[in-house]
This record gives sequence, C-alpha cells and structure tokens, in this order.
Amino acid sequence: MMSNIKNYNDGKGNTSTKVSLEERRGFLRLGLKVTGVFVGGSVLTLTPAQKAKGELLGASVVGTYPYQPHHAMIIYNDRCIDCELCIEACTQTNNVPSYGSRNAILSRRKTGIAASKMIREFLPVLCNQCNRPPCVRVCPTKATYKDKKNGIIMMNESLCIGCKACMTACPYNARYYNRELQAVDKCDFCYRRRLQNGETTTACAEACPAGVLFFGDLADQKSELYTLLHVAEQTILVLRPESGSMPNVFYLQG
Amino acid sequence: MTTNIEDLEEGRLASSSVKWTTHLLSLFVIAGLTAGSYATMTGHEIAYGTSREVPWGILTSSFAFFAITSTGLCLLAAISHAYGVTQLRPLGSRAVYLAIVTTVTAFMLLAFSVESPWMLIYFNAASPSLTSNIWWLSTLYGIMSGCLFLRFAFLVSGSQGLALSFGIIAAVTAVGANNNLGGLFTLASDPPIWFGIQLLVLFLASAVLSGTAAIIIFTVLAFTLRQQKIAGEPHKALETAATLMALMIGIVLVVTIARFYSIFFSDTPDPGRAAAQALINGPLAVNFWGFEIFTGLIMPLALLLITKTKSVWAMTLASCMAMVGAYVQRFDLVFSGQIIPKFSGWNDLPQYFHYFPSGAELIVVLGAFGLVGFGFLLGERFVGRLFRLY
Repeated sequence: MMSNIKNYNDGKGNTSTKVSLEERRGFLRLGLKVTGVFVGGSVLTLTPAQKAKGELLGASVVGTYPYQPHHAMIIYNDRCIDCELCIEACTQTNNVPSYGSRNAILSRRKTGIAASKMIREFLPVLCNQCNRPPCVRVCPTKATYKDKKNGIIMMNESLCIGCKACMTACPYNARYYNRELQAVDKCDFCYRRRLQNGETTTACAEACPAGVLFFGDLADQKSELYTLLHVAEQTILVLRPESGSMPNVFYLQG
Repeated sequence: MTTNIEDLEEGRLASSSVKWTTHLLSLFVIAGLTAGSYATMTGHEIAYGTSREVPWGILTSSFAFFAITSTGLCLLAAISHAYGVTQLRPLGSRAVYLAIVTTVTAFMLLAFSVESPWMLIYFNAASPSLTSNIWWLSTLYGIMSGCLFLRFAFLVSGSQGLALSFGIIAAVTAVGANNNLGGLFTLASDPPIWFGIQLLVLFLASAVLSGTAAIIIFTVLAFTLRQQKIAGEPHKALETAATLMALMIGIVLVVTIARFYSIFFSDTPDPGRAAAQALINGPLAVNFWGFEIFTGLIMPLALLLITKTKSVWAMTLASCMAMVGAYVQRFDLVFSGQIIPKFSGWNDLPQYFHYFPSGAELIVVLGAFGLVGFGFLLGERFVGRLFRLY
C-alpha cells in the first residue's frame, strides 16, 4: 500500500509528492479527527471524529497531492477581525463589480467566556477550489474547469452561457454572474492577476493584517502552508463536508 | 391515408371565435418573446426576480413543467402506436403534435432561462461536457423534437412504418432527456433536498401523469370546439388515459411520501431537512399541501376513483387539477433547493430566502402558455383531420 502511495500518479502526468512513514503515522492519528481524507487520490472515511465539530469538520488533507503546485489556503478564522481588507484587495485586483464578490466574511454572535456576554465570530469564505468540484460537473460547456496543472477551478468566460447551474451546485455560494463579462465569475486564487505573473500569494492573503489567510503549495513539503497543516493531533476543518466536494481551503484554530 | 396536407384542414374550425382566440394567443406569444428578449438584453438580475442566492426562478420550473409534459405526451404516443396499447390509439396523433408544441415551448423557456441563449446552441456542439445533465437534456430533447417532427411528417404523408420507427427513437430519447432533467436535481449533493434516487422515479411517473392529463384536456377541448360528442373509441381512449393517470397519481403519491420519509428519517444533512420543513410547514406549505398534494394528487385521484374514469367531465376536471398541481410541484422543487442559505446561521442571514417572479418572468410564462394554446388551435385548424386518423 505504501509503495502504491509513493508512486501515485493521477493519470494526468502529475506525480505526487512522497510522504514519509513517520508523517504517515502522524496523519493516521490525525485522520481519526477528520472525515473525507484524501489519500493517494482515494477517499477514506474515518469516523467518528474524536471531537466532532459538525459544521466545519471533514478535511480532505493528509497524504499525496496530485497537482504541481497544489495550491491551497489555510484560514485561522478565530483571528479574523472583520476589517474586510481582504475583500477590498480582491475587488481591486480582480476588478470585481460592486454588485458581486469573490470572497466574503460571514459573522454571527456566539456566547463568550462569560455566559452573559455575546461575542462576534467571523468566517472568511471564498471558492474552496474543491478536488471534487460540483460546479465543474454540472457545467454544460466546460466553461468552468479544474486546471490540470495546479488544481485551481478556473473560468473560460467565452464559453459561459449563463445557465447558472454552477451557482446552484456550489456548496459555498462562491460564484456570481458578472454582467460586464457576461459570465459567471469566481475566485481563482488570483491566478490570472498575480500567480501567473510570478507572484507567490493571493491579494487577500497579502492584504490581511491579522495573519488569518495563508496561501501556498501543499505539494511543497518545505512550504509554510505544508508545515502549518501537517501538525499531528491538530483538528483540521473544512466547510460543509457533507457535500463531499473535498475542499482545498482549510480552517484552523489558534 | 392522405398524402395531401390540404386534405387535413378542419373546415369546421374556420370560425371567427377560433380565429380571434388564435390571434389573442399569438399576442401572448409576442409579449412573452418581447419580455424574454428584454431580459436577455438587460440582464436577468435586473429584469428577473432572481439573485445570486436564488439563480433559478419560475422560468426554470416552467421549462421543467413543459419539458416533462412533452416527455409524457411522447411516451403516450409511443405506447399507443408502437407498443400495441390499441385503446389509446385515437389519442396518438394528437399526442405527437402536442409533444412537438410543448417541446418548442420548453425550448423557448430554456432560452430565456440562460443569459446567453445563442451560445447554448453553439457551445452545446462546440464544447460538450458529458458529465453535465444540462448538456444531455438539451441534446436529447433536441433529438427528441427532431424525431417527433419527422414522425409527424411521416404521419401526414402516410408512411406509418417510418413514423413508428421515429416514434420509438423519440420515446427512448424522451426517457433519457427526462432522466437528465431529473438528474440535474437528483445528482447534486448540494442542496440536499434535491439529492436522491426517488426524485428520478417521480420525474418519470410525473411525466406520464402530465402527458395523460394534457392529452385528456386537449382532446376534450378539440371535441368541444367541433361541437362533437365524445363517444365510441375516443371515449374508450380517454377512459384508458384516465386509468393510466390514476395509476401515475398513485405512484407519485407513494414516491412523494417515500421522499419526505427518507429526508426526515435518514442521514440527510440539515439544509435538506430545513428545505423539506419549508415545504411541510414553512413558506411553501400552501403550495405543497394546497396545490401539490390536495389539488394535484388527492382530489384528481378521488374524482377518478369515484367516477370509475367513466365521466368525461370528471376526468377533464381531474386533469386540470393535476396540471395545476404539477406546475406548482415543479416550482416548489426548484425553489425549495435554493430557499435555505448555504451558510445558514451565519451573517444574520434570513431563515429563508425570498423569491417572487418579476413582471418580465410572468409575461414570459404567459407567453409560454399562449404558445401551447396557439399551437394547439393551429394544429386543430390546419391538420385537425389527421387527429381522427389512427
């Protein structure tokens, strides 16, 4: 089994990164805390979780990553202060019109340490660049597709017919119809505006003053993102795991 | 059988009342096309009541209504002509014609449901996506309508063998198209209210139910226009159609109960349960209980059972009620999948999203019903005699 994982190839010419035995053991311990674990292109469902946090639980992390680079993001949502600089940076970088948005910050009241005090909780959300993207499956013209090289869900605006099936299928409300482009628009991890021009991070991650957003390459074992994510006994959370979309945006605490 | 289309003209229907009604309905069609064109030019989020959170509205549900009805009519025609259910034969030719009319109507609604309809036609061929239900349903409905056109042409020219062959191909593609229309909803894990195999069975049974209801209504209307009494074989055909309709109502009822049972007593995620709750005792409860269940299923079934499917007026009333119920059911299906926010509980989002069709949407829908009425009257007037030949 180990050798299968080490030599895993996704069939698209992308060879996966090797995972050491030690890490693997760590991940298996970690695996008891997550569901929908993505290992070598297959899905293992490891349940029940030790400390299930229903709405966020179910990461698709740990193991091999089929894209080179395998772009992903970590969000420390408890650090978010709702300054909305990430939204502003995204809007300016990607020419997002006023009626739309590629990212958002959700908020809600929750009970604080003292039971009588209510505090605000914030949740930055954006396209989760899913490994099993429902939006791609439903698109009738291949206007939206998962990039074979870097795994980002991209849009070919010229093919979009505006049926909005991707908008109904997206579990994260991450898409809107851009009237100027006459196509659905969404976050592409700033690929067109920044990454393909040699920049290494997204506009939102760069603009965040609170260290909430970390962007990087999961296939690079030396990257900060990889290190932050691959910590044993850490609970890794994803949004709406019940949709089975296997996101590449992970939520951590601390 | 005749080879001259002029011989098929129904001279009795050349009355001024039929002409004026046809003109009026054509105005509805023009209004619908105008409203739809306006929306295409200005953008749906301006002209329609849809939004980022509720991108599919009444046009999508109306498209589903007419597409499903056309499948039912196509299947009914195939059953009567090709599969030897001879009692239904007097309804077969009219069913073929009405299937064409309802498919064209469905395509009109599909065109106004997407932002760039001309690109749908082009990229459906140039950039096909075989995993997409929209691609399959538009392709299969396209093939089905082509086969139905050919079948009708061969019926007119008297080539029964070819008409039968194309009828069978049309029926097979109709089932495939209908399954993909269902698959558009049932294969999506999100929203969870749409997910589940029962919905596919519901779509197929509902197609035959709508098809039989439509053929009963339009056959009775056709005889009324001609001031003819329904007797003999046509009466027997209607009785058979009504029996089939009662059976389908029963299946739809059972599947509906099974669907909600599985939502509430299985591991359906919370948004699915919340959406089902919206139908059971939320903002869609009147639609669900009043129209879908009581008007659309229970009342027609009771009427048909009490009259033992013998009374023409009872079956016509039952058919009308079943069609009203079916129309509301399509709307509820489409809207219930979008009524619950994707991040319920966050950002002070409402418990339910609101959607109400805009004026432009309602005019397009009116135009669609106008097109069916217009097509029906044109058919009865100009090829009406064909419907008597079977």
